[in-house]
Amino acid sequence: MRTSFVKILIGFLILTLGACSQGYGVNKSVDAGIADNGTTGGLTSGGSTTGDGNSTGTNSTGGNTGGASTGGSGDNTGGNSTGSTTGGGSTGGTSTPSPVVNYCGGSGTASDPYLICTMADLVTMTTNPPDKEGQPYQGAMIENTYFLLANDIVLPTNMDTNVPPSPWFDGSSFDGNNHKIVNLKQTLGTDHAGNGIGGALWLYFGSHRN
Amino acid sequence: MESGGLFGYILGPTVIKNLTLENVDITVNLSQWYYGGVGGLVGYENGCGGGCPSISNCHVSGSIQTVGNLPSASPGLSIGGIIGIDGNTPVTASSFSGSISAMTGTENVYVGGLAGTLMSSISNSTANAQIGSSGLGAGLAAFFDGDAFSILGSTASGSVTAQTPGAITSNDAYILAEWPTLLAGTTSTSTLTYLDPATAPPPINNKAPGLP
Repeated sequence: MRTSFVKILIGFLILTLGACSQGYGVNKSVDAGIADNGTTGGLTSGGSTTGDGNSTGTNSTGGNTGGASTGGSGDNTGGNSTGSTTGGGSTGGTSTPSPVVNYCGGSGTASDPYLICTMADLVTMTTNPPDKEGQPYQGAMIENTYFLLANDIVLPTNMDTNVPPSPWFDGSSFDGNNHKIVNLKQTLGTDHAGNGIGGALWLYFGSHRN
Repeated sequence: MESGGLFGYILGPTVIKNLTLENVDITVNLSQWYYGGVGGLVGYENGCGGGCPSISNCHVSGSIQTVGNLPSASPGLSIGGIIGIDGNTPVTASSFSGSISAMTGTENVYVGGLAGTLMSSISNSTANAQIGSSGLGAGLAAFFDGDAFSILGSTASGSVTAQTPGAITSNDAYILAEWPTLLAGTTSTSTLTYLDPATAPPPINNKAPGLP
């Protein structure tokens, strides 16, 4: 047992070194990993809309929410994402990296947090914020921003929230407000095509790869 | 470095609270996964800056599982019902219920009912989990760093099947011998199964509270 504990410590040191090398400075390697996934990943299984979003690459929100509306398995998503698809998609081809903030309320401050009401709002939270370098499709950096879950959100059971990027929550707050998110499903570390989930609706939250 | 969970990375004075994730279903494909952290809620906590993160009153139910084998050269994969790698994040009044299975073909996988790797504190929390790990497995937190952690007033139940299983951590006997206060008020009724019975320690080493 003692021997195994020493091994644990050694392993841990390695882990710690890895952890220490993380942080903002690692964003370049994040780019590489996510680019890898991003090319295969799409919010929609059809992928054409999202794929275009990926390749033009400046505004992931347009592509993502467009995909959400294409998937169309969630009433909430369809409704909310339509608007952002139009806005985000049209700007997606430009070099404007600024996110489209499209929550159901709030301003993101401690006293007036963004309200998360629908699946589309979750998508917005996890895909909209660009990282510190303004790059889409990698771990979105959410800094000093406050969120409040306004109600329960039940995701479709056939939806895999496979996720190349995920938000980095840096000094931010997510208050579930004693509500719940149901049926969060993720397949991590593989590309979307590899999952063979045709027709499914993809969200981007919760995973980070670099 | 990879991480999974609703929140991939957290750092700085991030607060996640009052949130329930019901029927989580996370699958980690190890063919493209080298090392990192996966949690039902948070994958990887990446340090403090202007304050440390915290998790409180968060409840996760569901399953986390791996497919494929982890490369033997991997520095390690940590999986927890709440958080994969917890460096500085106190977890309070939170729970996980469900199953976590990581039969990765290697021993460098660390699976805990609440945290895979723990360097911070867990308090007043519970895990009712069926844990499977080809490496370390534990009712609450598998992988730890010396005495730089604590698990207080918490409970584990369910089962742990692993190469190195533990009721609370992966080495309760060692902790209780060296730093008994680090597990104060924490108990476990988890049943332990050694993947390789030859590695099971003599019963005298099993001093963890709650052990049969």
